[in-house]
Amino acid sequence: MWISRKVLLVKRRIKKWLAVFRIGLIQGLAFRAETFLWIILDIFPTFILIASWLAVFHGKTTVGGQSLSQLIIYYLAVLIIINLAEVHFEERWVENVRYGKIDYYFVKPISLPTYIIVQALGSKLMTFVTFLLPFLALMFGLIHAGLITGFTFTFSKLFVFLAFLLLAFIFDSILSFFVVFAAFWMDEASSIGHFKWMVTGIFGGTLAPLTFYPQWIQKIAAFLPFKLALSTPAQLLARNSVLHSDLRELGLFFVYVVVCVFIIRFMWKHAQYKYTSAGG
Amino acid sequence: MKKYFSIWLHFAKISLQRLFEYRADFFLWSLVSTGWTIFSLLFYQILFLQTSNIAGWNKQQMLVFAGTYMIIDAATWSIFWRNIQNYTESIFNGTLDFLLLQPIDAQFRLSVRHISFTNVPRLIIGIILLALNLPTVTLSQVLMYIALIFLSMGVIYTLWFFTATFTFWVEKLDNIIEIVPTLRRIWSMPSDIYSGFVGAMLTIIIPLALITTTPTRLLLHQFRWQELVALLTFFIVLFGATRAFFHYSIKKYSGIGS
Repeated sequence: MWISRKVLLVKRRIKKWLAVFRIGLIQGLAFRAETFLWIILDIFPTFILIASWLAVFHGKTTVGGQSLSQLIIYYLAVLIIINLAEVHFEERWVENVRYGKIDYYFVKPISLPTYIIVQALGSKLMTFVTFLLPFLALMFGLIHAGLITGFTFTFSKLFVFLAFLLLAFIFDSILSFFVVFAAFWMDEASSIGHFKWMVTGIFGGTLAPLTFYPQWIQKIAAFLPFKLALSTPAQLLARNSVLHSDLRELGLFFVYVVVCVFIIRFMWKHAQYKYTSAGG
Repeated sequence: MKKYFSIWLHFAKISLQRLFEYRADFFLWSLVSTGWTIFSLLFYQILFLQTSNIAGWNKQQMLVFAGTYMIIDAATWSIFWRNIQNYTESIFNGTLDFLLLQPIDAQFRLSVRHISFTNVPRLIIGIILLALNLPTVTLSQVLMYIALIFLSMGVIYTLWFFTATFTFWVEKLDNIIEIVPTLRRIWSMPSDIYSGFVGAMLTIIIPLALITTTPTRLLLHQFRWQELVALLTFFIVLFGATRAFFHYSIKKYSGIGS
């Protein structure tokens, strides 16, 4: 009796999630041209990064202990992570909180954070479909130009990378929630979103592998979780095999994510009491 | 001309008044601008940790280049970003109708209504970088440099306005205005890093790679007239094309409410 009730509850919950997921997917489809343009705009800087490193590599086989091919694979992996794991819902939801447009979501049979994250997941599926073609074109172009050599594919590498990717999606969503929830207390939370991008960009390793950074940044980055979302999985793809340290870092990342989930739940609980809107 | 300058001054004054009204907002966005400036500088630093020169540019030259890039970027972002954003929004929501009725050139009105001051820290950082790394220059070089900066800004503005004008022809593409901010990565690095077909494309046919390189070369006593000709020709052609495209699009525009 108790078990069947539990099963029914889980079924209902999944049904709700699927409905919201579908909304995300439909929205992604409705704005497919916009999504496609975003992907092209995200891919473009990689060309400039590669051109810059080509100039640095001029006459050298390795730089900072990495070959050009490894560096390019690193940037391609960063591109995958940015497109598939990073979310940008904070901009829209900061505005919604600021202008009192979330009342409607309080009476829905699903909590607002769940609604946002499931919808983001739906949009990400659409992004994945749109991303695939230009990304493959870029990759084949680079292989054809002889810039990617010696890449080895193993299922263990893929499996660990996907696990990192999933955690990176949750982690980035949590960071975005920090920004959205900040809007309950301050007027200009949208600017905080930029700090999120900057911090993840610098300490995550968007510009280059972290070993290329100045020592003092490397020391700070070692104590922060951002590298686990970007640099560690990207380096993993550029290497030939999965190292024991990769698995340890995956475990560490999981712990970070769990701790952050608790913090977010705590913040959301307090944010709801803080919220007021006109006309209610 | 005088009338237009006076209008621009009035708009600038209103923007300044808004700045004093929303001081916290200004402070936070200035911090964001400073943060992104440091972010850009970090990339140059990372490159120079691995090499002593990039495509013939040593660190000191590169810092002069970075300073010029910051100045151009801060100026274009301050003057045009919000205006371009409002331009596309006014097409999507139909408020462009009201603007077209005003007794003033529509493109001018759309391009100069708002000025942002949040990029002032970026501008200052750029000037400091120049001051600290600049070799000895003459007054005529400085004046020519300023003229080249204006030319570069003109190229960026026309390109931005041109791409934004496509909004008349697409149903919903909010991020069309993000094309130029993404393209600026091209001129964030010296034109010498681009080689082969891409290099020819970006320095002769569509000389976007010269936007920062040409003014910087002038300060480094390496000025090339061919680059100026390419940049100037591109600006004139693009400006003419943009005006024609804008007026043609206006004729096709029916407004959302009509």
